[in-house]
Amino acid sequence: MYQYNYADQALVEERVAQFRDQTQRFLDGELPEEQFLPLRLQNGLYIQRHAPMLRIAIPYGLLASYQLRKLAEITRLYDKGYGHFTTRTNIQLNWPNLEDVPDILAHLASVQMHAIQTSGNCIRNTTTDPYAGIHQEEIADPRPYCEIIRQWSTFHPEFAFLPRKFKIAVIGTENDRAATQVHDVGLHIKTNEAGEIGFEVLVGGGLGRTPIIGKVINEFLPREHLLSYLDAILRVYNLHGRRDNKYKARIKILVESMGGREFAKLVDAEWEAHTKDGALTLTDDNFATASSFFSAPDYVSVDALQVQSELQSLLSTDQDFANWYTQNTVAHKVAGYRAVVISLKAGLVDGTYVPSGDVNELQMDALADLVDRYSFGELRATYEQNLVFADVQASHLYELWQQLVVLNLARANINTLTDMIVCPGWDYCSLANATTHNIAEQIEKQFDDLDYLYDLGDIRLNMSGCMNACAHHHVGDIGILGVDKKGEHWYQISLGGNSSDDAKIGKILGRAVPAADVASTLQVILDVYLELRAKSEDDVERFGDVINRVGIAPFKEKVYG
Amino acid sequence: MGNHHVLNSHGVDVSDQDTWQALITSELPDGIALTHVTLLELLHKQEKLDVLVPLTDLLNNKGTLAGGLLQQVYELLIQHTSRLGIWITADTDADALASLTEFLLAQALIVIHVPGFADGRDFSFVQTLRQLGYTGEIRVAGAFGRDQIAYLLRVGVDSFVLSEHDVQSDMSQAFTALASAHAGRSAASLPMFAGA
Repeated sequence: MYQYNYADQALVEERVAQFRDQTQRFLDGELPEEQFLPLRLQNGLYIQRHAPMLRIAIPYGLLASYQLRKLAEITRLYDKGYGHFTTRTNIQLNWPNLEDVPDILAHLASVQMHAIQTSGNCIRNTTTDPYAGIHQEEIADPRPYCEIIRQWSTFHPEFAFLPRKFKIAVIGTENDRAATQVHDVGLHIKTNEAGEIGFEVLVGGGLGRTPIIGKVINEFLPREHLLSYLDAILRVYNLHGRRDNKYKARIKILVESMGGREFAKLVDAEWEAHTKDGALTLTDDNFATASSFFSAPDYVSVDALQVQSELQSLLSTDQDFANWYTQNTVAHKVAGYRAVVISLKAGLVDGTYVPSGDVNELQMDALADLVDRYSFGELRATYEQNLVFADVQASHLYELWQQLVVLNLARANINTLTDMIVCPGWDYCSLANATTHNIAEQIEKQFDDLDYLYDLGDIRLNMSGCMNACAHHHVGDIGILGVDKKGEHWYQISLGGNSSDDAKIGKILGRAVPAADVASTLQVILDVYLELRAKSEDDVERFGDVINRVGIAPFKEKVYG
Repeated sequence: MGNHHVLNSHGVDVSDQDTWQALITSELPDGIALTHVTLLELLHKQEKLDVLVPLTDLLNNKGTLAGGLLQQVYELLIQHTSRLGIWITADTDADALASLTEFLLAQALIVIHVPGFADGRDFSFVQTLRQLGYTGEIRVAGAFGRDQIAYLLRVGVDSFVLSEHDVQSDMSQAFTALASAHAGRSAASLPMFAGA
């Protein structure tokens, strides 16, 4: 994990001092609201329905145990004892006081954390694959490139007042677990024929009111040009992006209006004329330095056969453990290790719904202890609002699982229908048109049979409380969008979306359904799927594949017919 | 016209030494310069002044330098001024600037007018001018805020036009904020590679 040096630490502390001054000037009436707004947003601070919301950065999802303990402490001191993980792998506090925010930022700075550029019209937190560095099929570890982008984008003086927000995601495998195609810039690590590393560059993806899949503008950008090329993209966007209409201001609208080829030409012209091969060019030494922070931990070599046979006997005797192992653990490139996904989709705990992505302070402290013991003291946050222990010895899985069970963090539902991405919705967010938590609770109650969920297989269900699409409803196999109809909350369902390598926008099934009918409508949809899917002894057609094959018509007919 | 002040890159008020006057034209925004002069006044003055003119008024509808009457007026301005500078708006076509490189490089001062705090095109205009090789003074005027000064300095701005209200409070922090931040221009300046 990247360790801050003197310069990084000084920067974060200077930022705290700067924001303390700005907050004070705002409270004293010296700093006008229209200027304080973008400044506080660039420090992660929103004003929400009940209270401010503070979004804390977790760069490319990497979080050390001591940082998680600090987050737990902050939620005890300044909030209501919990935090909410987002699709962009940040964590949000829902109840801080505006006056306390500079103090919270000072606490965060003490463990190299901050809320810098987690909001506002600037370059946001770069995200990546939660299995970076441990995946068998990885071309190269994306984290060193993420860290280079983080350092370049942090306090970049030219790009802090862009037409709109700007999000970058980087992956190193074919399989996309970071939704790169719906980012402003998606970077796919590739190698050329000479074996050199570079990036396929996508630009102009995004969701919100105008969902668009990103377009490839460069098939292979040699890695030394990473920063100079990004610089050119951002300059073209900053100068040409629309500023007359907030809803037309994202780079996707600019790229869509002129076409990917034309946009690529503008970027190339800017790049070739000014910055290519200039001082922003990265060297092999630079890459070596960046990579040194992400070296493999000290894996122990194990007798893989013996570990496997012991594990096998536990799996065959404990069905709950076996379910968890199947759903919530992932293959690791090192023999004898697995990655563990901590489900933050507990569903109903003692009859009370726990919102997707929420973790309380007791769980944070306990997870910090567990990750110290079992996974080299480092966690990862995922796009799907879960957490990952990336490096767990297979021989430790059973005891880790037992402890997670006690914490309500071992629900074996990863990639199932109830592994829902859900935004906070109307209950918290002042942008939202409809509640989401009550609908998620309704779905949890309707689909509480694990065997049924396993039979349904992988289904991504994403639910947003408004068209801003924070929960990426467009790219769920099933998307649910809350809408307001004359003061009532209704829910529009879409089918067939995908955020992975086969990214596409789901199709709207039909008119919205009332809140009380969401789960029953889903039941109809799932019944159609079960009826239509092809099934052989060793292969079951996935939900998304059925939609690809038959379209949404059969579903529409059953729901509205 | 409100009272304005010019501050240099160290935050020092240099209004007393500032000799620039804006030529009064139909669309002159408030605060491009501390004082103004009409074309008629200028032509009748004995001494030669430092005068700022709007770039848009010197261009034809193709975005290149106009000929004819406009060119004659400009030549007249050259004769009657000590130094000439231009002011540009955020709506200036950035791509067209490249075709005006020679003209731009001849300017003693280029003032960029910022239409609103959240409109960050000025940051890229400064960068574009520097990339074209302009080494003269770049000044920002208009609706930027003191909290943007640290970033504006880093992209290459030399001076700032601020309102009377702005300069009443202690502005020193605005010029020294985020002292450790990089300027976005070189890989070597990133914390990880700077070897700090």
